[in-house]
Amino acid sequence: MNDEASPAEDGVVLDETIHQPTRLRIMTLLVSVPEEDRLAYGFIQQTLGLTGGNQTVHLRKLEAAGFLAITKEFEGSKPRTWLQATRAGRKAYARYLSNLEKALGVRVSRS
Amino acid sequence: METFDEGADALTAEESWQSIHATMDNVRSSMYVAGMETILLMWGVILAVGYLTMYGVYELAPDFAEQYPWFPALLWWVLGPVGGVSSGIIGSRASRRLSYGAAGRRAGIRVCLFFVTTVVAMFLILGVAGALDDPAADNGKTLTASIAGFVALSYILFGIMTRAVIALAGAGFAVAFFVPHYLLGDAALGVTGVLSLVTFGLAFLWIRRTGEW
Repeated sequence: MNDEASPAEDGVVLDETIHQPTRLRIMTLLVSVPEEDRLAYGFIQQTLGLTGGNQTVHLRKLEAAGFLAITKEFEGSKPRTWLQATRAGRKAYARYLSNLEKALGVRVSRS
Repeated sequence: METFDEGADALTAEESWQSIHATMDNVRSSMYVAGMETILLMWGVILAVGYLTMYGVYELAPDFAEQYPWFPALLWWVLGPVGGVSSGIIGSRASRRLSYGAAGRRAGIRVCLFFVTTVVAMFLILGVAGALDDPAADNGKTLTASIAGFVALSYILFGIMTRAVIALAGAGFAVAFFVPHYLLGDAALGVTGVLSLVTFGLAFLWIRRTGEW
């Protein structure tokens, strides 16, 4: 579990692992689907407009923090990489969202 | 050399908020357009086959057209469902390559319902308007134009909600059909057949080569 955090407005602490432009978008994408769902590496790259190397660096950071599970499988002869937010990742994101709400003084829609 | 954005601009809370909402919108619409470039190309081919066949029948075999006035209706009753089922298969397979689970399935069902609803609405509206009473009237021109309008509209509406290129493809198809329809007389169907393939083919190439929508 990652303990890094950075102070934000009004002393609210935002998890630095998530509070980074690319990683925030990746985590948002992963938690926007049901817990059992997995997203393809290519889908994330295409949806967010990331380069492969950049995406891989950030995915490794999220994986190292325990927020992300990476699964590699073969479909016939084609390798496929699947990404899924872990339970810890979803909890960390929920905490991040809650702290963000406090920092902004708003309520984030969770639908 | 690739640059990594680890040290990229620090996010403010407002920027985080905006990024979250933009990403959520993006992921939903991305699931809706899975396989869409291939589906557009396929419809370009189907429309080209349909319109060029009709052109061939009316211009090159008028006796056949007179003997079998129901032929255009039969042609589109075959091509339409073939296109619809193929669209479903292409979209489903593309979706399964991108996501695995309920979210992708739900997105696919929504897209399917959108297009099925527009087709049903089309037939209901045409029926109420009396356009289905005598489909062979005026060689089916009025009915063909009406259906073309609905097809274009469905792509434009879908594209407005998802990706601009799809809307542009729909608008392009409307131009490809209605300009020849009103200006080119007997040659209209042939020209429309070619322009339909060109329009959807260009959309396919644009998406494939640029990855942009």
